[in-house]
Amino acid sequence: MSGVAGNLGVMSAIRALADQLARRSDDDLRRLLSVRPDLILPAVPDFSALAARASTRVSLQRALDNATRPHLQVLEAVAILTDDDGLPVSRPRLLAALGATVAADADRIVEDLVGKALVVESEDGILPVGALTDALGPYPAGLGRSFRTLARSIPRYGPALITAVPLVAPAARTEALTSAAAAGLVDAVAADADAWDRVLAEAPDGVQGLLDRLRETPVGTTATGSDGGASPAVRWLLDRGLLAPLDALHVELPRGVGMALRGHAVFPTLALEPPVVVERTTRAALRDNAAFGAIAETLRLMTTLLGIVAAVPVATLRSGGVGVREVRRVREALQSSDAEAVWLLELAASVGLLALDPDDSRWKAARLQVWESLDRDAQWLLLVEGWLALDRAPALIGSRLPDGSAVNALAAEASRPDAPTVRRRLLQAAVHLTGPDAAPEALPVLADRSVVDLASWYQPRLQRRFARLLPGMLLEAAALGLTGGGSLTDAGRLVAGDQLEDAARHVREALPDPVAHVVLQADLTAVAPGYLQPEVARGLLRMSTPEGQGPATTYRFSADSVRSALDAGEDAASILAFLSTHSATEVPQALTYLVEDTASRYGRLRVGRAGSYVRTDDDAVTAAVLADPRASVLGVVQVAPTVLVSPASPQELTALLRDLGFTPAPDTPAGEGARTMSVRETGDAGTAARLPPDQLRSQPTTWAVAEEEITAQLAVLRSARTGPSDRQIGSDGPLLGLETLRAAIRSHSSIRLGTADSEGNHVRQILVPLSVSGGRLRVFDPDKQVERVVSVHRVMDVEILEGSPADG
Amino acid sequence: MVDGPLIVQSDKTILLEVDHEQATEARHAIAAFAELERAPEHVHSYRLTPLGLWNARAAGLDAERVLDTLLKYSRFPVPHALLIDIEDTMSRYGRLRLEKDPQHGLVLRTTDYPVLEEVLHAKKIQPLLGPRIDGETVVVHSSQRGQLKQLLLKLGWPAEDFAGYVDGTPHPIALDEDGWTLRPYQQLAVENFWSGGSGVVVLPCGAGKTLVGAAAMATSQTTTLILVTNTVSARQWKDELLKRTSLTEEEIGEYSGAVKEVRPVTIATYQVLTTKRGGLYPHLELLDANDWGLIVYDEVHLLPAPIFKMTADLQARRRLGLTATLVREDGREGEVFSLIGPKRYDAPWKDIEAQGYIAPADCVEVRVDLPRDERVAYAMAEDGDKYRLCATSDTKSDVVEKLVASHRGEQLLVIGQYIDQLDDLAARLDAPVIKGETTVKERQRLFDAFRAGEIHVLVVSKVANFSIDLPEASVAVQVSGSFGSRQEEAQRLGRLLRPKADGRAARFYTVVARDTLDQDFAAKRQRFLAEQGYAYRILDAASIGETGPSD
Repeated sequence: MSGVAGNLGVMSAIRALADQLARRSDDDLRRLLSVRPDLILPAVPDFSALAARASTRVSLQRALDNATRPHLQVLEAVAILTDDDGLPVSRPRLLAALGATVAADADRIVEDLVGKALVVESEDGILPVGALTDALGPYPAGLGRSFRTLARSIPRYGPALITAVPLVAPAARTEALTSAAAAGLVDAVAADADAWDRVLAEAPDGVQGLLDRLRETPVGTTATGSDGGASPAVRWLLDRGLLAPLDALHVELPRGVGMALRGHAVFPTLALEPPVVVERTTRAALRDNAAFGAIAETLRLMTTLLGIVAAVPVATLRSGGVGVREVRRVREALQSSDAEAVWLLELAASVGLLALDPDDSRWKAARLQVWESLDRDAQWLLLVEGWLALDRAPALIGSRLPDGSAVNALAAEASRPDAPTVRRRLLQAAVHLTGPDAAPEALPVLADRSVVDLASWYQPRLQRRFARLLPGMLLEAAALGLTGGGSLTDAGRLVAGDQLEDAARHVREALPDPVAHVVLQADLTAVAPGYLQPEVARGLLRMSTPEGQGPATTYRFSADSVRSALDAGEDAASILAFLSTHSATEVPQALTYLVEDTASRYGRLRVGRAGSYVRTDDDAVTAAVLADPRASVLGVVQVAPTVLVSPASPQELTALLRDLGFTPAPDTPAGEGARTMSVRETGDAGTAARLPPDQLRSQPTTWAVAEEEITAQLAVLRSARTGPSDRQIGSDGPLLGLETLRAAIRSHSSIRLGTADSEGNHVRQILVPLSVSGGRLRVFDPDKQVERVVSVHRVMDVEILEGSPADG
Repeated sequence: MVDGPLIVQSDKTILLEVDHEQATEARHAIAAFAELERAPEHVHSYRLTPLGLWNARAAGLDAERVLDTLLKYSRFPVPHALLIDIEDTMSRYGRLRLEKDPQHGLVLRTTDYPVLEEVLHAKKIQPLLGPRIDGETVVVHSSQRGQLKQLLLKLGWPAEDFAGYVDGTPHPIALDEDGWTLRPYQQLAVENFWSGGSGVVVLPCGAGKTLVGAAAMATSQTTTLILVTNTVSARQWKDELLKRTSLTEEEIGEYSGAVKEVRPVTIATYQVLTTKRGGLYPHLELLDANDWGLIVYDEVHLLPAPIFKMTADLQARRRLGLTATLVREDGREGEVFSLIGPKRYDAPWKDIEAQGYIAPADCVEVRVDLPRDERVAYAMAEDGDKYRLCATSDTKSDVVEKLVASHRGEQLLVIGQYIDQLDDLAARLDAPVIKGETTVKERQRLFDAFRAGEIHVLVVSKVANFSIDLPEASVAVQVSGSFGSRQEEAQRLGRLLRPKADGRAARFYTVVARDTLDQDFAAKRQRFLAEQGYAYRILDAASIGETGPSD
């Protein structure tokens, strides 16, 4: 594809950018690379490669996603002003398009955009970088297409404009008018304040209202009148070419009209100030109460959840995710709401406390003991880190998909790779809204709306995502104590500032120490007056049933619960010893009695497991069987005078008895009992316990590069300094080709396009490119008078044919 | 974080650590809006309910005070959702007010227009209302005052009733404080009730509820209708009124199955009022027989459902409810709240015990082993007969004999369910027996003799459960009961809690057959009694003779 750039009338924007980048100081480059780290991930060999990468749609989109509202406004204005002819826009023209904006503000932002390599400035003016206009989307600044573009792309609109000229510009000469010229005339009227006012002065009722509605979004549906046709207002606008009909129902407001409505500017003014709206305030005491309450509750629920899942793993649906029924089971055991259960499941899975067992597709509590061994502030920190890195939006679970089904917990549908970014933004917006020194008596409450508005000022391109995700995330932040009573907490502020360890220390100081003692009472309960040390809690759980929701847990003793402790190998003495060790008060007589009474009568019935048994009334037979050495191989034991059991199968036992010369008959009844009596297996917590807590940590993946990497990269770039003037084009070649194509599309020039056909032959054709997107190039073949689509990967070279404007 | 005595749970319970130095203070503060649910020895638990919060509002407490109290005494952060819930619930009370309008009569008025709209659109409420006067006011048919209040409560918008009361026929009544005075808490209860208009006073068994009634009558100075649970209780009320007030025999009428007298002060039983003949309540006119100025409901927690219906029509009269507990086994606390009125006074049992007005109690469960043949018989019995079999075991009689012997000289009751068993015990102990067929006259004679100390041991059936007064019974032995009802337990224990002359603790034995239904019921009883704060011990029958029970 050599020689492409040489054919360009103006110097390639990418090449210009590469030149400029090469001339920048190291500090400027460092700044650029720290705000757009994806430019050197992976590293680039030279400045042209760097410029090429900076011009790619993906990188630009990422940069745009991080542009604040005023930055985006200026970019959109630049894109609009350079859209028609592809020529650079001068600063005065740009400023004029920004309405009441002060020049200094606009200049500052332009400098910033140049610094971020989003626009290139030369003596001629400012040009957007590479695919920026594409990346901005079809309606930059919320304005429609220009009269000219519309006239060209909507067949009926061109002629309509010609007939409209006498109505909007009576003085204009109308002979031999082309649609392009008509578009120019109407555009001139819209751009001239006096002429525009004269046109609007004659407008019937409803026109102004209609225009106001289209002010921010250029495409609308036409309100049909009573006769089924368009309403008089729409009719009036269509007649004058001030609305372009897209189809029977939709119209588009041409850019010129849209700008006229904004005071003949792209934006009436720049939104320089972030919107900080505080509707309510709360007190610090209430905030901290709510936050620390929420932290304690979340940690308690998480421990309970892991216990529940450890006992019975959570099954997944065949279609993926956890079904409503399983969620309900968890919810009921937690005594919480569906949303809370789902959120805890998601959070637990995100930090690896729950793991999907690939063998049986069930979520299992992999690291319950590790979790329990952590201090509460470490538990909290773990959850906060997991939350920050969680690339899912639990709040979306339960919402409806387009096909009518609901999003399931832990299913792919709730995955949102940008969720960590949105959370970061949430915290930053919260810090901003709260301000540096709010009075403890009047702390701002973070309303959904004001957080979304502020976040959208910082990242206007993510507005829809913010509106959808932020309210749910605010609830999540509240559950983690990052906000309390709706207001940002100190811990939340520290987390927002990435001081996670400090935040954890803050939480540790605020959470009360775990208690080691319970209060035993005669109503056969033990009350833990606060968060109980995990080992004591575990001991109590073995011999009693927990009750109650909140910071304190009540453990109720009953004969059943004591029996289950006895099943687990305890005896009366050990139970009572445990109780008296961990009781702040004397063990009540009634409880001692219960334990001793239950233990003394424990084991009157015994259940065991056996593979086979022998019943006989003949003592001689039992003696003979037991005396035979082969019996001990089969593990035969006597459990009662007339019963022998063995773990071996009945067949093996029968064979043995036959060998001994007996004639055993198969015994049918009651054999099943033993098989169904199985002791539940206790899981593999032992292996999990050996994993260090660090393995649970999850780090948010962010686009960030270390200072050293930037330095290393700079060294590479500087050493390859010969780059830009050299004809060597590396991986950025295709980009230059694409840029040529875009230039040709913009100037409606013909090109000579070299492609590889299906046999691999190099074929050259003269074509008119129409558009390029999604890896496909749409071209018009003037010879055959047809449109075709060419795959971009087949394009080998592009050459613009000079002086061939193919307007039409 | 303050180290307070309260732990507020997210399940809307509040735990109070009794041994904490601020416990008393905190208990008084939360008693106004939370119901005491369990009171075992170390940690009491209270419950927050909408009714409790509305009771607090009725007593003039606002949400902010409630929240401040919780935050002040709580050891841990209070769940934020709970705080919001409290605020929300409390703000619902009093948005609607029933008032007397000089022009339109009874009206429902609101300060919050949408609430009235919501209420007006409720299907069941529409027919109770008359024309709408303006955006905030609507006329109420005066006969529907009670039903409206009931339905509004169900909707979650309890109305505050400012419509006042009819004066009733004046009748002079005075307390006859000769050798006794009203206790301070009784005084306070009456004052709270009177300033609140209507409502319920909650006092533990033995704390002198009858006197609160009498004092309310003396304040009202009008004709009074007293509704009680049964005839014995009616007699007792009458005796008490004769003794404690200026009322004479001629002024007090009894309206029961046997006698139908309507006098300035009339004591009627629930049973006679709710007797139905041919689909009608023939004795309903009693309620209109006199222009009553005050209606007293004894044992509100036992109020039968038809009485609620009748009470709905009595909203213009002052109503006083007396009870030991607001907890109803049928869950109709809401009706008590809307029809009789909010709780006006509640004295924690422990406080009154501490002041020495009621006796402390010591509950002992004695477990007996059934002999082998009885165990086999029990195991083979039909489900319906099982309880009777285990409850009436002969081995129990031996234990009862031993217990009675060890308490020789003390006033002792043996309580049971089955007449055969009681007759047998009476014969063994050589003690008189009171059962259903015993005439009222004979009962009174035996009670008097027991009171006088001429008889030391009395064997009684469940007829003794309600409102008999046995001041000097200090020991009770229960051999069988009606399946562990909480009501019954409270009543039986109440018999013992009347203060003793020498301040001794009452002893309450329950004899239980091991490994039977009897023991299951005993477990419930144990939980209930322990939750009420009574000391509870379990002994094996075998150890009775050896160590002696009185240690």
